[in-house]
Amino acid sequence: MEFKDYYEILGVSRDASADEIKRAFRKLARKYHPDINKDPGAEAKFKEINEAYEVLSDAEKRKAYDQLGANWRAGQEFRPPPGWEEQFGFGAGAGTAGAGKRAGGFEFHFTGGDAGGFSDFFEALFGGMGRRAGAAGGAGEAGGFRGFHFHAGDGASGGLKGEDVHARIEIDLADAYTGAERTISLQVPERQPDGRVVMRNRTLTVRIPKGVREGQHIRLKGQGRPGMGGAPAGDLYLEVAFRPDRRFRVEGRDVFIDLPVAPWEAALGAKVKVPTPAGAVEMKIPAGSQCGRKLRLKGKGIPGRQPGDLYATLKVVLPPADNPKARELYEQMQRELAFDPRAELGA
Amino acid sequence: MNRRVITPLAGELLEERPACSLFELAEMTGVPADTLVEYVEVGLIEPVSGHGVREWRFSGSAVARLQRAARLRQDFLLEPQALALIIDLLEEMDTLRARLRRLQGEW
Repeated sequence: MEFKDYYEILGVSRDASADEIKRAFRKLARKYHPDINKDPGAEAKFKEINEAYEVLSDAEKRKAYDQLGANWRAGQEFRPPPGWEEQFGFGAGAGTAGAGKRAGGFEFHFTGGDAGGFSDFFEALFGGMGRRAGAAGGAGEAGGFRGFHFHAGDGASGGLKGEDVHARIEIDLADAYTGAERTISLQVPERQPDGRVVMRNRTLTVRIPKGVREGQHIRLKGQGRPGMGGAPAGDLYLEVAFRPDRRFRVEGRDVFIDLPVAPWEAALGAKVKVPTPAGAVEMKIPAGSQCGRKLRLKGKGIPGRQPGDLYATLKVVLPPADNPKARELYEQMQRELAFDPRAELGA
Repeated sequence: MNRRVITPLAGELLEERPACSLFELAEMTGVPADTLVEYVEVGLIEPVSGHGVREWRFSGSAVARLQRAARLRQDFLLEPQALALIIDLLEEMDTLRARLRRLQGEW
C-alpha cells in the first residue's frame, strides 16, 4: 500500500500545533466539502483531508503516526513496521479511546463510486479503532454516524432506522430523454465479527426516470444502510449529473446547441436538420438570419410535464477561399455588394 | 458464468414527488418536527401550500435542502439562520455555475 503523508495533505509542518492543524483542516474542509464543491475529485480530496485530520487531531494516533519517522514520502510503498499492533494497540478489537471523541467528523456522507471510506494505509495502521463509526458500535453511537442520518426513536419497532446514503450518478443527456438503466457500484462499510469495518462493493442496477434533470435526486427507498433492532433500512439518494457533451449544453430543462450554417442558409433561409438528444429534427432558418441568432424548438428540451425547449444558436461558417472558384465568388461579393460590417462602429 | 436477470430498481424522482406533510417530511429526513417548524420560521424550507402547521405541504426539493442543511450544520456547526443563508447562496451558485457551463461551452 502507499504511504500517506498526512502533514502534506493538510499543508502543515510536522511540528504544527493542534490549533494549526485544526485551522488547516477547517479551511480545506470548507473548500472541498461535497456540498460546496461539485468538482469531480473534490469528494476524494475531502475524504483524504478527513483521514489526515482523523489521525493528526488525535494525540494518540498522531504520536503513533509520527513514530513511523519523517523519511517516508507520499506514495512510497509501505508496510506497517513489525510489532506495530503490540506497541500501539490499534489492532483489531482495540477500539477504545479516540473513537467518538471528536464531534463534527465528515466521513460517510457521500459514499458513491470510488470514494469509499478511509484508505488501506489508514486501515492497516489504525484499523481496529478505525473510524469513529466503526469503533463506537451499536446503537446511539454519538459522534460516529451523525445524528441526522439516524432516525432516532423510530416509533413502533423501537429500533433505529438505517442511515440514508448519498451518492452521485453521471448519466448521458440522452438518458434523460428516454429513461435508462444504469449499473452503479457503491462502497459500503461492513462490520466484521472482530469489530473491524471493511469496505465492500455493492452493485445496483437503477432505472433512470425519463425527464430527470441535473441536480435532481433519485430516491431508492430502503437501499441505504440496514436498520437496527428491526427498524427499516435507510434510503439511497442518487444526485444526478450529466456527463459533459460535445454538442449539447443544458441549463435546467432547456438544451442548447450551436448550429453551424452556411452564409447562404442564413441569408436566404433554409430548412436544416438539427440534432437533438432524441434524434434529428428539421428546423426552418428564417431568411436574413445573422450569426448568433437563437432559434427555439419548443418542447424539444428535456421531456416532462413541462418539457424544456431546445435552443439552436446559429454559427455562420464561411467556406474557405482555398480554390480559384471560391476566391472568385468572394471577390465578386467584394466588388458588387456595398457592405460594411463595421458601419455601426463609426470607424 | 452465472447469469442472472437483474430487475432494475425503480426509484422516485425526489423533486417530482407529491407534496408531503410536515410529519412525512420529518419521517423522511429524520429531522424532528419541531426543528422543521423552526426551519420554516427562518425560511430554510418553505411549504408550497397550507396556512397552519397541520396544513403545510412540502415539495420533494425540501428533502434535498434539509439533507444538505444537516450535513452543513454538523460539519460547520451552523445556526439555522446561517444555514438558510448559506443554502440559498449555494443554490444560487449552482444555478450560476450551470449558466456558466452553458455559456462557456466548446465552440
